[in-house]
Amino acid sequence: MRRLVVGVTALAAALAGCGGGAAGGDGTVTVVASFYPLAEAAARVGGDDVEVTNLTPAGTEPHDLELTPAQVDAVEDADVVLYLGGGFQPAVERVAERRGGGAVDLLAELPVEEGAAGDDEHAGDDEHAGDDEHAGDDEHAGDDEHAGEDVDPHFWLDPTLLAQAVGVIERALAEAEPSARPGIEARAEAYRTELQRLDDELRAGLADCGRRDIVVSHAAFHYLAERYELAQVPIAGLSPEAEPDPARLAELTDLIGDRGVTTVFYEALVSPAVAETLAREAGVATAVLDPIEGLSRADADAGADYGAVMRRNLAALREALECR
Amino acid sequence: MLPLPLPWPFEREYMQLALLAGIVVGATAPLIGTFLVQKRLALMGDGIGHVAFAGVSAGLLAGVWPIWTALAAAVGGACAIEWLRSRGRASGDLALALFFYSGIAGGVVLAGLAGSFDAGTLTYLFGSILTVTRQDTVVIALLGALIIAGVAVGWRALFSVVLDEEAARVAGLPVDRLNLTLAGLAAVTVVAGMRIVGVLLVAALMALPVGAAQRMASSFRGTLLWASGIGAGSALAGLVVARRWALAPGGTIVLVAAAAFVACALGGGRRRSGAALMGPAGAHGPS
Repeated sequence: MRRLVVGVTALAAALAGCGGGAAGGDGTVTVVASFYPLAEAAARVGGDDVEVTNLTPAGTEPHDLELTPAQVDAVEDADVVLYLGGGFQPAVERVAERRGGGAVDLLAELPVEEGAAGDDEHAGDDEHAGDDEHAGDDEHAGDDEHAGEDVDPHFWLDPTLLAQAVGVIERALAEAEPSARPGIEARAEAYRTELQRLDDELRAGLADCGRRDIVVSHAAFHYLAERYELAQVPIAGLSPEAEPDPARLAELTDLIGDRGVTTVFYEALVSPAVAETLAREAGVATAVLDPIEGLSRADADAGADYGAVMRRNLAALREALECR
Repeated sequence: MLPLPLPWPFEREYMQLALLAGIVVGATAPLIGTFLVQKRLALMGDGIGHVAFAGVSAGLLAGVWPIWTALAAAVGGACAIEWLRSRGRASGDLALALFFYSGIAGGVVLAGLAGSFDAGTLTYLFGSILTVTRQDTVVIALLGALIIAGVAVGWRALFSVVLDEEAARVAGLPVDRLNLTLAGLAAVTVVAGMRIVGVLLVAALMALPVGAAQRMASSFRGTLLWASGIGAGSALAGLVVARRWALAPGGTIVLVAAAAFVACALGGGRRRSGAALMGPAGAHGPS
């Protein structure tokens, strides 16, 4: 009996020593980012001093991410975890909160707003009216992710807010590996300059347009709309699965006709069926407006990044809004 | 040609396509359901639906149109359920349990392999009647025609088998082939109904109108016709209600069918629930 106790204790001690990959002797900071924009920013700021893992694979929609056991380990063991709270990716949130420290909730650090509260058409619109998919969703028992989602998480579509996030990420990385601070600060400054240039291009490109309403698949573009003075008209709410009801489709068709909207926008990672139905009903075209919640596999293979996709979005917006 | 000049709420093309698809499914699902209810296999549609979900996930993972893989999985699953049941290897409900849970679990694992639940998966689970395209409607109509043809040609033989399998066998009917045909038609029904109310609710359209019809009809043929009518009516009324009160259309259609069931159970109570067990032409007609 005593041998057994000693043996088990020794085994437990040995196992406790395993894992917990600290910043190894080579000074590399392991960073786990919950989805693409955070991973991209961390990679740009950290350079060779970091090893970044993106939990959401290319071509996958982040809102519903469920973690594999290996990913849970990665979140628990990393030096720095970057994620968004507020119900955006509840699986990641739960694991990140279990850590003692080193997990950064970007939404807590940025001036974010209530979900779609600023959209003029939809004062009082309940984004979750159609969200009954999750009521009977036994696969996600307990996963009531969209119930608490009242903060709009899509801040990265405003480059100036992403620049602020870069500051937060910069501080977190420097804290994890102080010896790398000079390089981290220099790269962060360079990335912020790039984002400022992007902001200037967007502002110039969207300054003088024939119309300002954008009909989009889900309410991901509030911050973009605020920054460049557009009006977002979302078909679905803050998360893309909610299907519209027939009354909403009719309402949107009328709105498109009344305001002379030329295009219904859809996204690369989500089925375009709803956008296409609405566009066919209203007799207008469809086009992609990418909320950059992730890179499509095609974009990832082609080496496109946030800047490239935003510029593509700008071109699509300029055409749909008839900008000069 | 579309949109036709119909009154509100069907003045728009997407509502007309939804109505057409809904009526086809609403009318044909209960036809098969009548036989399944008679066999005390009302939940078979549910079991097939769960297996079809695995087929959908496989199709989405492989980049193939999910209707094909769902059809393959549903037909395969239906025949397997039938085989297990008829060989006595497992009682009807245990066979169903095996497929129910393997189906959903298989679908979850396959969706996990694809990276996560993509939004397309959810529309197959819960239906997406408002995004039915013209092409979808053609496919649904063809599947519906197949079901109606099958029932019109074979309903008397199928009825004999579900009523009393031993007697039918003694009478020389090809019982095994008929059972498999019924299973296959059930699979087709589930796949056709998948777009309308989703795999999780399609069994409701196969069972609830039948329950309502049994209180109203006095012969098996009457049950078939009443069930079909109530099913189609539920689709129509469900879409009207959904449009008027901004509700999810798939769920609303099923709730209307459920309400019809309750109404018939309360109002048509004077007919014995065993009325459907009378012969094809009613107790007084030729058998």
